[in-house]
Amino acid sequence: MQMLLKQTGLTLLGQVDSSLPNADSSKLAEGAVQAFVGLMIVFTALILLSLFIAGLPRVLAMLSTVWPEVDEPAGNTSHTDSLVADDGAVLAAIGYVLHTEFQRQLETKDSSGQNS
Amino acid sequence: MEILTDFFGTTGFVTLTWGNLIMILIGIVFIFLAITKDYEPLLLVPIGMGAIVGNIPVAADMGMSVYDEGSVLRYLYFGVEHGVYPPLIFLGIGAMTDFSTMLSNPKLVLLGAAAQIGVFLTFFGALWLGFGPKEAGAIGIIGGADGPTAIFLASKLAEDLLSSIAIAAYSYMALVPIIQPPIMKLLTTREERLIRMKPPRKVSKREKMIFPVAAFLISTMIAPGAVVLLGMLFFGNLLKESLVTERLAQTARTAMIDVVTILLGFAVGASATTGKFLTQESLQIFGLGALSFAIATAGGVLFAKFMNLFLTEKINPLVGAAGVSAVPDSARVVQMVGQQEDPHNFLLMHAMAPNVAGVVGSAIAAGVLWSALT
Repeated sequence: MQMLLKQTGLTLLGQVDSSLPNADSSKLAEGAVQAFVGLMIVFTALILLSLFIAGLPRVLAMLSTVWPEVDEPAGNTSHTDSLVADDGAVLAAIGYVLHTEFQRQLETKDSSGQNS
Repeated sequence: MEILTDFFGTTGFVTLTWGNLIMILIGIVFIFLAITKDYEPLLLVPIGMGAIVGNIPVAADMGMSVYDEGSVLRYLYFGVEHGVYPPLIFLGIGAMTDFSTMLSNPKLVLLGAAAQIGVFLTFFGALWLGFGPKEAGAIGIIGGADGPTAIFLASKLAEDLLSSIAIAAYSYMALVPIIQPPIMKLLTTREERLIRMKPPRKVSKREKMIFPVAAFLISTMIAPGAVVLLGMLFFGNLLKESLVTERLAQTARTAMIDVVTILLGFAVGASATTGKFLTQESLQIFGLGALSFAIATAGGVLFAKFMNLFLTEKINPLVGAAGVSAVPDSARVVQMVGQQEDPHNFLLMHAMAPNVAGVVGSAIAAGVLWSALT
Protein backbone atom coordinates (compact mmCIF):
# COMPACT_ATOMS: atom_id res chain seq x y z
CA MET A 1 0.00 0.00 0.00
CA GLN A 2 2.85 2.31 0.92
CA MET A 3 4.64 1.56 -2.40
CA LEU A 4 1.45 2.30 -4.33
CA LEU A 5 1.00 5.59 -2.49
CA LYS A 6 4.64 6.46 -3.10
CA GLN A 7 4.27 5.74 -6.84
CA THR A 8 1.13 7.85 -6.96
CA GLY A 9 2.93 10.60 -5.10
CA LEU A 10 5.85 10.49 -7.52
CA THR A 11 3.49 10.73 -10.50
CA LEU A 12 1.57 13.64 -9.03
CA LEU A 13 4.79 15.38 -8.10
CA GLY A 14 6.25 15.00 -11.58
CA GLN A 15 5.54 18.66 -12.09
CA VAL A 16 7.75 19.76 -9.17
CA ASP A 17 9.47 23.00 -10.01
CA SER A 18 13.09 22.02 -10.43
CA SER A 19 14.18 25.63 -9.89
CA LEU A 20 13.46 25.13 -6.16
CA PRO A 21 16.73 24.29 -4.49
CA ASN A 22 16.96 20.85 -2.88
CA ALA A 23 13.47 19.79 -4.07
CA ASP A 24 13.66 16.02 -4.32
CA SER A 25 10.68 14.20 -5.81
CA SER A 26 11.24 10.95 -3.94
CA LYS A 27 11.64 12.78 -0.62
CA LEU A 28 8.48 14.75 -1.31
CA ALA A 29 6.57 11.61 -2.21
CA GLU A 30 7.72 9.92 0.98
CA GLY A 31 6.82 13.06 2.92
CA ALA A 32 3.35 13.11 1.39
CA VAL A 33 2.82 9.50 2.45
CA GLN A 34 4.08 10.24 5.96
CA ALA A 35 1.82 13.28 6.22
CA PHE A 36 -1.22 11.32 5.09
CA VAL A 37 -0.52 8.35 7.34
CA GLY A 38 0.25 10.63 10.29
CA LEU A 39 -3.03 12.50 9.89
CA MET A 40 -4.91 9.21 9.66
CA ILE A 41 -3.28 8.01 12.89
CA VAL A 42 -4.34 11.22 14.68
CA PHE A 43 -7.88 10.82 13.32
CA THR A 44 -8.01 7.16 14.34
CA ALA A 45 -6.91 7.93 17.88
CA LEU A 46 -9.42 10.75 18.31
CA ILE A 47 -12.26 8.79 16.68
CA LEU A 48 -11.66 5.94 19.14
CA LEU A 49 -11.53 8.46 21.97
CA SER A 50 -14.76 10.01 20.77
CA LEU A 51 -16.47 6.60 20.58
CA PHE A 52 -15.26 5.75 24.08
CA ILE A 53 -16.60 9.04 25.46
CA ALA A 54 -19.93 8.47 23.69
CA GLY A 55 -20.24 4.96 25.17
CA LEU A 56 -19.05 5.84 28.68
CA PRO A 57 -22.41 7.12 30.02
CA ARG A 58 -24.10 3.83 29.01
CA VAL A 59 -21.39 1.77 30.69
CA LEU A 60 -21.60 3.89 33.84
CA ALA A 61 -25.40 3.62 33.81
CA MET A 62 -25.06 -0.20 33.85
CA LEU A 63 -22.39 0.04 36.55
CA SER A 64 -24.55 2.27 38.70
CA THR A 65 -27.13 -0.52 39.05
CA VAL A 66 -24.47 -2.48 40.97
CA TRP A 67 -22.44 0.41 42.38
CA PRO A 68 -24.57 3.54 42.59
CA GLU A 69 -22.82 6.90 42.31
CA VAL A 70 -23.13 8.95 45.51
CA ASP A 71 -23.67 12.66 44.92
CA GLU A 72 -21.02 14.36 47.07
CA PRO A 73 -22.17 17.58 48.80
CA ALA A 74 -20.65 20.73 47.39
CA GLY A 75 -17.19 21.60 48.67
CA ASN A 76 -16.60 18.17 50.20
CA THR A 77 -12.90 17.66 49.44
CA SER A 78 -9.92 16.39 51.32
CA HIS A 79 -8.38 19.79 51.82
CA THR A 80 -9.99 22.73 53.63
CA ASP A 81 -8.30 25.27 51.37
CA SER A 82 -9.67 23.67 48.23
CA LEU A 83 -10.87 26.07 45.61
CA VAL A 84 -13.04 23.47 43.90
CA ALA A 85 -16.55 24.93 43.81
CA ASP A 86 -18.94 22.86 41.87
CA ASP A 87 -22.25 24.08 43.31
CA GLY A 88 -23.58 26.66 40.89
CA ALA A 89 -26.65 27.29 43.05
CA VAL A 90 -24.51 28.38 45.99
CA LEU A 91 -22.51 30.73 43.78
CA ALA A 92 -25.69 32.16 42.28
CA ALA A 93 -27.10 32.77 45.78
CA ILE A 94 -23.91 34.53 46.88
CA GLY A 95 -24.02 36.68 43.75
CA TYR A 96 -27.64 37.61 44.41
CA VAL A 97 -26.93 38.62 48.01
CA LEU A 98 -23.93 40.72 46.96
CA HIS A 99 -25.97 42.41 44.24
CA THR A 100 -28.82 43.18 46.64
CA GLU A 101 -26.41 44.55 49.23
CA PHE A 102 -24.68 46.81 46.68
CA GLN A 103 -28.04 48.07 45.45
CA ARG A 104 -29.07 48.85 49.05
CA GLN A 105 -25.82 50.72 49.70
CA LEU A 106 -26.21 52.73 46.50
CA GLU A 107 -29.75 53.70 47.43
CA THR A 108 -28.62 54.73 50.92
CA LYS A 109 -25.84 56.85 49.44
CA ASP A 110 -28.23 58.48 46.94
CA SER A 111 -30.82 59.35 49.58
CA SER A 112 -28.19 60.83 51.94
CA GLY A 113 -26.83 62.87 49.02
CA GLN A 114 -30.28 64.27 48.26
CA ASN A 115 -30.89 65.19 51.92
CA SER A 116 -27.64 67.17 52.28
CA MET B 1 46.72 53.17 30.24
CA GLU B 2 47.37 49.71 28.87
CA ILE B 3 45.22 48.26 31.66
CA LEU B 4 42.38 50.57 30.68
CA THR B 5 42.75 49.62 27.03
CA ASP B 6 42.74 45.91 27.91
CA PHE B 7 39.69 46.41 30.09
CA PHE B 8 37.86 48.30 27.35
CA GLY B 9 38.66 45.45 25.00
CA THR B 10 36.67 43.06 27.23
CA THR B 11 33.54 45.24 27.27
CA GLY B 12 30.52 44.49 25.12
CA PHE B 13 30.92 47.74 23.17
CA VAL B 14 33.96 46.41 21.35
CA THR B 15 32.50 43.05 20.29
CA LEU B 16 28.91 44.24 19.70
CA THR B 17 27.66 43.35 16.23
CA TRP B 18 24.60 44.42 14.24
CA GLY B 19 23.18 40.96 14.84
CA ASN B 20 23.40 41.43 18.64
CA LEU B 21 21.68 44.80 18.37
CA ILE B 22 18.86 43.42 16.23
CA MET B 23 18.24 40.53 18.62
CA ILE B 24 18.25 42.87 21.64
CA LEU B 25 15.76 45.06 19.81
CA ILE B 26 13.57 42.01 19.08
CA GLY B 27 13.64 41.17 22.78
CA ILE B 28 12.57 44.70 23.64
CA VAL B 29 9.75 44.52 21.08
CA PHE B 30 8.49 41.27 22.64
CA ILE B 31 8.44 42.85 26.09
CA PHE B 32 6.74 45.95 24.72
CA LEU B 33 4.01 43.92 22.96
CA ALA B 34 3.47 41.75 26.03
CA ILE B 35 3.05 44.71 28.38
CA THR B 36 1.17 47.19 26.17
CA LYS B 37 -0.92 44.82 24.00
CA ASP B 38 -1.20 41.90 26.44
CA TYR B 39 0.16 39.49 23.79
CA GLU B 40 0.90 36.24 25.68
CA PRO B 41 2.72 38.13 28.44
CA LEU B 42 3.52 35.02 30.50
CA LEU B 43 5.72 33.80 27.65
CA LEU B 44 6.81 36.89 25.76
CA VAL B 45 8.23 38.69 28.79
CA PRO B 46 10.57 35.81 29.76
CA ILE B 47 11.43 35.16 26.10
CA GLY B 48 12.08 38.84 25.45
CA MET B 49 14.26 39.26 28.50
CA GLY B 50 16.07 36.02 27.70
CA ALA B 51 16.77 37.27 24.17
CA ILE B 52 18.30 40.45 25.60
CA VAL B 53 20.43 38.53 28.12
CA GLY B 54 21.50 35.92 25.56
CA ASN B 55 22.66 38.51 23.04
CA ILE B 56 24.89 40.66 25.22
CA PRO B 57 28.33 40.06 23.72
CA VAL B 58 30.75 38.52 26.19
CA ALA B 59 34.34 37.44 25.77
CA ALA B 60 34.59 33.96 24.26
CA ASP B 61 36.70 32.56 27.10
CA MET B 62 34.16 33.62 29.75
CA GLY B 63 31.81 30.81 28.74
CA MET B 64 28.57 32.53 29.71
CA SER B 65 26.25 31.88 26.79
CA VAL B 66 23.55 29.23 26.74
CA TYR B 67 25.71 27.11 24.43
CA ASP B 68 28.82 27.16 26.67
CA GLU B 69 29.35 24.14 28.91
CA GLY B 70 29.28 25.01 32.59
CA SER B 71 27.43 28.32 32.25
CA VAL B 72 24.35 29.04 34.36
CA LEU B 73 22.30 29.64 31.24
CA ARG B 74 23.34 26.20 29.96
CA TYR B 75 22.02 24.57 33.11
CA LEU B 76 18.72 26.44 32.73
CA TYR B 77 18.64 25.41 29.06
CA PHE B 78 19.03 21.74 30.02
CA GLY B 79 15.27 21.43 30.53
CA VAL B 80 14.61 22.81 27.06
CA GLU B 81 17.32 20.85 25.29
CA HIS B 82 16.32 17.52 26.79
CA GLY B 83 12.56 18.05 26.65
CA VAL B 84 12.05 18.20 30.43
CA TYR B 85 10.11 21.45 30.75
CA PRO B 86 7.30 20.79 28.21
CA PRO B 87 5.95 17.66 29.96
CA LEU B 88 5.99 19.53 33.29
CA ILE B 89 3.99 22.32 31.68
CA PHE B 90 1.55 19.73 30.37
CA LEU B 91 1.17 18.45 33.93
CA GLY B 92 0.06 21.91 34.98
CA ILE B 93 -2.19 22.27 31.93
CA GLY B 94 -3.88 18.97 32.73
CA ALA B 95 -4.46 20.11 36.31
CA MET B 96 -6.26 23.24 35.13
CA THR B 97 -8.20 21.77 32.17
CA ASP B 98 -11.87 20.91 32.39
CA PHE B 99 -12.70 18.20 29.85
CA SER B 100 -16.41 18.17 30.68
CA THR B 101 -17.47 20.14 27.56
CA MET B 102 -15.62 17.57 25.45
CA LEU B 103 -17.21 14.71 27.41
CA SER B 104 -20.68 16.17 26.93
CA ASN B 105 -20.37 16.38 23.13
CA PRO B 106 -17.85 13.80 21.90
CA LYS B 107 -18.34 14.46 18.18
CA LEU B 108 -16.61 17.83 18.64
CA VAL B 109 -13.40 15.88 19.39
CA LEU B 110 -13.14 15.24 15.64
CA LEU B 111 -12.75 18.98 15.03
CA GLY B 112 -9.60 18.85 17.15
CA ALA B 113 -8.34 16.09 14.87
CA ALA B 114 -9.25 18.01 11.71
CA ALA B 115 -7.26 21.05 12.80
CA GLN B 116 -4.10 18.91 12.87
CA ILE B 117 -4.14 18.98 9.08
CA GLY B 118 -2.19 22.21 9.54
CA VAL B 119 0.66 20.22 11.10
CA PHE B 120 0.97 17.68 8.32
CA LEU B 121 0.48 20.04 5.39
CA THR B 122 3.11 22.36 6.86
CA PHE B 123 5.41 19.36 7.27
CA PHE B 124 4.97 18.71 3.58
CA GLY B 125 5.46 22.38 2.76
CA ALA B 126 8.73 22.46 4.71
CA LEU B 127 9.97 19.45 2.76
CA TRP B 128 9.00 21.26 -0.44
CA LEU B 129 11.14 24.23 0.60
CA GLY B 130 14.12 21.94 1.05
CA PHE B 131 14.17 21.28 4.78
CA GLY B 132 15.19 17.78 5.90
CA PRO B 133 12.49 15.41 7.23
CA LYS B 134 13.34 15.97 10.91
CA GLU B 135 13.47 19.74 10.48
CA ALA B 136 10.21 19.65 8.51
CA GLY B 137 8.55 17.65 11.29
CA ALA B 138 9.69 20.16 13.92
CA ILE B 139 8.43 23.07 11.78
CA GLY B 140 5.13 21.34 11.01
CA ILE B 141 4.18 21.05 14.68
CA ILE B 142 3.88 24.85 14.83
CA GLY B 143 0.48 24.19 13.22
CA GLY B 144 -0.55 22.39 16.38
CA ALA B 145 -0.54 25.84 18.06
CA ASP B 146 0.87 24.33 21.22
CA GLY B 147 4.03 25.93 22.57
CA PRO B 148 5.25 23.14 24.87
CA THR B 149 4.59 20.52 22.17
CA ALA B 150 6.50 22.58 19.60
CA ILE B 151 9.46 23.00 21.94
CA PHE B 152 9.40 19.31 22.90
CA LEU B 153 9.42 18.09 19.30
CA ALA B 154 11.98 20.65 18.18
CA SER B 155 14.31 19.57 21.00
CA LYS B 156 14.03 15.97 19.79
CA LEU B 157 14.18 16.51 16.03
CA ALA B 158 15.84 19.81 15.19
CA GLU B 159 17.55 21.50 18.11
CA ASP B 160 19.22 24.08 15.90
CA LEU B 161 15.84 25.45 14.89
CA LEU B 162 14.35 25.34 18.41
CA SER B 163 14.54 29.06 19.16
CA SER B 164 13.00 30.04 15.80
CA ILE B 165 10.26 27.42 16.10
CA ALA B 166 9.44 28.35 19.70
CA ILE B 167 9.29 32.06 19.00
CA ALA B 168 7.24 31.50 15.83
CA ALA B 169 4.80 29.23 17.71
CA TYR B 170 4.26 31.64 20.62
CA SER B 171 4.11 34.70 18.35
CA TYR B 172 1.38 33.19 16.21
CA MET B 173 -0.51 31.94 19.27
CA ALA B 174 -0.59 35.56 20.41
CA LEU B 175 -1.87 36.59 16.98
CA VAL B 176 -4.75 34.06 16.89
CA PRO B 177 -7.37 36.86 17.31
CA ILE B 178 -5.96 38.46 14.15
CA ILE B 179 -5.25 35.40 12.01
CA GLN B 180 -8.43 33.39 12.57
CA PRO B 181 -11.46 35.70 12.14
CA PRO B 182 -10.96 36.53 8.41
CA ILE B 183 -10.54 32.83 7.58
CA MET B 184 -13.58 31.89 9.66
CA LYS B 185 -15.77 34.49 7.93
CA LEU B 186 -14.46 33.58 4.48
CA LEU B 187 -15.34 29.90 4.87
CA THR B 188 -18.79 30.25 6.46
CA THR B 189 -22.09 31.80 5.46
CA ARG B 190 -24.09 34.11 7.71
CA GLU B 191 -26.72 31.38 8.19
CA GLU B 192 -24.04 28.97 9.37
CA ARG B 193 -22.59 31.51 11.80
CA LEU B 194 -26.05 31.98 13.31
CA ILE B 195 -26.47 28.28 14.17
CA ARG B 196 -27.23 27.83 17.86
CA MET B 197 -26.12 24.63 19.55
CA LYS B 198 -27.83 22.73 22.36
CA PRO B 199 -26.41 23.47 25.81
CA PRO B 200 -23.89 20.82 26.94
CA ARG B 201 -25.18 18.09 29.26
CA LYS B 202 -24.03 17.69 32.83
CA VAL B 203 -21.11 15.30 33.12
CA SER B 204 -20.86 13.01 36.15
CA LYS B 205 -17.85 12.92 38.43
CA ARG B 206 -17.21 9.29 37.51
CA GLU B 207 -16.91 10.19 33.85
CA LYS B 208 -14.41 12.90 34.68
CA MET B 209 -12.39 10.53 36.85
CA ILE B 210 -12.32 7.63 34.39
CA PHE B 211 -11.61 9.79 31.34
CA PRO B 212 -7.92 10.69 31.95
CA VAL B 213 -6.80 7.10 32.48
CA ALA B 214 -8.87 5.69 29.64
CA ALA B 215 -7.97 8.49 27.22
CA PHE B 216 -4.29 8.04 28.00
CA LEU B 217 -4.46 4.31 27.34
CA ILE B 218 -6.37 4.72 24.07
CA SER B 219 -4.24 7.47 22.60
CA THR B 220 -0.82 6.16 23.60
CA MET B 221 -1.49 2.59 22.50
CA ILE B 222 -2.09 4.05 19.04
CA ALA B 223 0.70 6.64 19.16
CA PRO B 224 3.32 5.56 21.74
CA GLY B 225 5.52 8.53 20.85
CA ALA B 226 3.04 10.75 22.68
CA VAL B 227 3.37 8.86 25.98
CA VAL B 228 5.43 11.54 27.74
CA LEU B 229 3.28 14.55 26.86
CA LEU B 230 -0.09 12.82 27.17
CA GLY B 231 1.00 10.95 30.29
CA MET B 232 1.73 14.21 32.09
CA LEU B 233 -1.38 15.93 30.68
CA PHE B 234 -3.75 13.21 31.87
CA PHE B 235 -1.86 12.73 35.13
CA GLY B 236 -2.43 16.39 35.90
CA ASN B 237 -6.09 16.04 34.98
CA LEU B 238 -6.45 13.00 37.22
CA LEU B 239 -4.94 14.96 40.12
CA LYS B 240 -7.67 17.54 39.55
CA GLU B 241 -10.63 15.23 38.99
CA SER B 242 -9.86 12.58 41.62
CA LEU B 243 -10.80 15.13 44.33
CA VAL B 244 -8.38 13.49 46.77
CA THR B 245 -5.21 15.17 45.51
CA GLU B 246 -6.43 18.76 45.32
CA ARG B 247 -3.28 20.03 47.02
CA LEU B 248 -1.09 18.47 44.31
CA ALA B 249 -3.38 19.73 41.55
CA GLN B 250 -3.31 23.22 43.04
CA THR B 251 0.51 23.20 43.11
CA ALA B 252 0.75 21.81 39.58
CA ARG B 253 -1.55 24.45 38.07
CA THR B 254 -0.08 27.41 39.98
CA ALA B 255 3.42 27.42 41.46
CA MET B 256 4.91 24.57 39.45
CA ILE B 257 3.72 25.64 36.03
CA ASP B 258 4.74 29.24 36.75
CA VAL B 259 8.29 28.21 37.73
CA VAL B 260 8.71 26.04 34.66
CA THR B 261 7.22 28.72 32.39
CA ILE B 262 9.74 31.26 33.69
CA LEU B 263 12.68 28.92 33.14
CA LEU B 264 11.45 27.70 29.76
CA GLY B 265 10.69 31.15 28.37
CA PHE B 266 13.93 32.66 29.61
CA ALA B 267 16.07 29.79 28.33
CA VAL B 268 14.37 29.77 24.92
CA GLY B 269 14.90 33.51 24.63
CA ALA B 270 18.56 33.22 25.65
CA SER B 271 19.07 30.55 23.00
CA ALA B 272 17.87 32.92 20.26
CA THR B 273 21.34 34.15 19.37
CA THR B 274 22.29 35.84 16.13
CA GLY B 275 23.67 32.73 14.51
CA LYS B 276 20.60 30.65 15.39
CA PHE B 277 17.81 33.17 14.79
CA LEU B 278 18.86 35.71 12.15
CA THR B 279 18.97 33.23 9.29
CA GLN B 280 17.04 32.69 6.07
CA GLU B 281 15.65 29.51 7.62
CA SER B 282 14.01 31.55 10.38
CA LEU B 283 12.19 33.66 7.80
CA GLN B 284 10.95 30.50 6.10
CA ILE B 285 9.88 29.09 9.47
CA PHE B 286 7.89 32.24 10.25
CA GLY B 287 6.25 32.07 6.83
CA LEU B 288 5.39 28.40 7.23
CA GLY B 289 4.13 29.06 10.75
CA ALA B 290 1.60 31.62 9.54
CA LEU B 291 0.49 29.21 6.81
CA SER B 292 0.12 26.36 9.30
CA PHE B 293 -2.20 28.39 11.55
CA ALA B 294 -4.32 29.39 8.57
CA ILE B 295 -4.57 25.82 7.28
CA ALA B 296 -5.40 24.47 10.75
CA THR B 297 -8.19 27.02 11.16
CA ALA B 298 -9.56 26.28 7.71
CA GLY B 299 -9.31 22.53 8.34
CA GLY B 300 -11.38 22.72 11.50
CA VAL B 301 -14.06 24.96 9.99
CA LEU B 302 -14.39 22.94 6.80
CA PHE B 303 -14.58 19.64 8.69
CA ALA B 304 -17.41 21.04 10.81
CA LYS B 305 -19.27 21.92 7.61
CA PHE B 306 -18.61 18.40 6.33
CA MET B 307 -19.97 16.87 9.54
CA ASN B 308 -23.13 19.00 9.20
CA LEU B 309 -23.96 17.12 6.00
CA PHE B 310 -24.68 14.04 8.16
CA LEU B 311 -25.98 15.58 11.38
CA THR B 312 -29.53 16.52 12.29
CA GLU B 313 -28.33 18.71 15.18
CA LYS B 314 -25.99 21.02 13.32
CA ILE B 315 -22.66 22.23 14.61
CA ASN B 316 -21.88 25.92 14.23
CA PRO B 317 -18.86 25.69 11.85
CA LEU B 318 -17.11 28.54 13.67
CA VAL B 319 -16.52 26.08 16.50
CA GLY B 320 -14.19 24.14 14.17
CA ALA B 321 -11.67 26.96 14.34
CA ALA B 322 -11.21 26.20 18.03
CA GLY B 323 -9.57 22.90 17.07
CA VAL B 324 -6.43 25.01 16.88
CA SER B 325 -5.19 24.23 20.36
CA ALA B 326 -4.32 27.76 21.48
CA VAL B 327 -6.32 27.33 24.69
CA PRO B 328 -8.43 29.37 25.44
CA ASP B 329 -7.73 32.12 22.89
CA SER B 330 -9.15 30.35 19.86
CA ALA B 331 -12.31 29.45 21.80
CA ARG B 332 -12.66 33.13 22.74
CA VAL B 333 -12.24 34.09 19.07
CA VAL B 334 -15.09 31.72 18.15
CA GLN B 335 -17.27 33.34 20.82
CA MET B 336 -16.38 36.81 19.54
CA VAL B 337 -17.03 36.07 15.86
CA GLY B 338 -20.27 34.27 16.70
CA GLN B 339 -21.49 37.20 18.78
CA GLN B 340 -20.79 39.63 15.96
CA GLU B 341 -23.64 37.91 14.10
CA ASP B 342 -25.85 37.16 17.11
CA PRO B 343 -25.02 38.74 20.49
CA HIS B 344 -27.10 36.08 22.25
CA ASN B 345 -25.29 33.11 20.74
CA PHE B 346 -22.89 31.76 23.35
CA LEU B 347 -20.41 29.46 21.65
CA LEU B 348 -17.57 29.61 24.18
CA MET B 349 -18.34 26.41 26.07
CA HIS B 350 -18.99 24.52 22.83
CA ALA B 351 -15.69 25.80 21.42
CA MET B 352 -13.78 24.60 24.47
CA ALA B 353 -14.49 20.98 23.44
CA PRO B 354 -12.46 21.03 20.19
CA ASN B 355 -9.99 23.38 21.88
CA VAL B 356 -8.95 20.83 24.49
CA ALA B 357 -9.29 17.99 21.97
CA GLY B 358 -6.77 19.91 19.87
CA VAL B 359 -4.27 19.77 22.72
CA VAL B 360 -4.58 15.98 22.74
CA GLY B 361 -4.50 15.88 18.92
CA SER B 362 -1.35 18.01 18.65
CA ALA B 363 0.41 15.86 21.26
CA ILE B 364 -0.53 12.74 19.28
CA ALA B 365 0.69 14.41 16.08
CA ALA B 366 4.00 15.21 17.80
CA GLY B 367 4.31 11.62 18.97
CA VAL B 368 3.62 10.32 15.48
CA LEU B 369 6.19 12.65 13.90
CA TRP B 370 8.78 11.79 16.55
CA SER B 371 8.28 8.04 16.04
CA ALA B 372 8.27 8.27 12.25
CA LEU B 373 11.23 10.60 11.84
CA THR B 374 13.70 9.29 14.44
